[in-house]
Amino acid sequence: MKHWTEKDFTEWMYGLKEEDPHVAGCAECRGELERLKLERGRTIALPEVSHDFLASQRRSIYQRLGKPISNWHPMRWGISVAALVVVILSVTLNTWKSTPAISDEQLFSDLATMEQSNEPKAIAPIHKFFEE
Amino acid sequence: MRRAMVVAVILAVSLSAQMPKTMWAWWNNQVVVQKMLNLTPAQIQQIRHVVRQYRPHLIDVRAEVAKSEIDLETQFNHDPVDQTKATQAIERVVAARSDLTRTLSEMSLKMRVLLNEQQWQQLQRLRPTKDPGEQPAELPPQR
Repeated sequence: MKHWTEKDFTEWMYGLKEEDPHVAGCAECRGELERLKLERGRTIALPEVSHDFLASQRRSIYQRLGKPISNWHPMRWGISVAALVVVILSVTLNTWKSTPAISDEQLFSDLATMEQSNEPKAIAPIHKFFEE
Repeated sequence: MRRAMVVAVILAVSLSAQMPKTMWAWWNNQVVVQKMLNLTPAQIQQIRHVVRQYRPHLIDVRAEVAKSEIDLETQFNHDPVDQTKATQAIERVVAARSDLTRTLSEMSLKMRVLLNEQQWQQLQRLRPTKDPGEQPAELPPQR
């Protein structure tokens, strides 16, 4: 029989393939299988946590449960202030942009032109007949 | 009918356009204000207050005159002419121009009472005569 391919080993790792007589008799494939078993065992093994560590963690939790919850955090205020500044700036800039800036010179020049024009544009072509 | 409407508009506009004949932003010209008219700081402040007081309405009036004239032009170009709408457009032009004249005249009056006789005469002499809204050519452009 042929040696197991990488695909065979992968399928075995995922439980899709059973060990066959070749693996049982082939030292090379058997060795690779054992290596993979060890590797998998190491990967899924739970980390060793000492009893003292867990006990101190419990004590810490109980201690914090007794204290009032504090919401204060320097970054929280920082973010709030930054957000407020951004909102104020955007509103201010938007208002500033949307306000049509017109100088006194331009405004009164336009008004004087309107004031001095004898007729609306619409009637100018007909008004010319009266002049002639 | 169209000719009658035109005559009505011309008459209304001519009657309403008597005062003021010219208007330019002389209060922003330092040479005029300080050298030619010799306005006191109090007078300058009061004149600028008058301008600030009327400015928003004048901006509205300018827009209304422009819009009403565009509306009138639209009615004149419509075929067939809707006489009712055209008449309404004429009324709107007349009202807008009348408001313009009234507002400018009131503002001018408020300015006039802040000036003494000599200053008023001097300002009259500085009035531009050809290009409406333009300051007299001999004056340096200042703000």
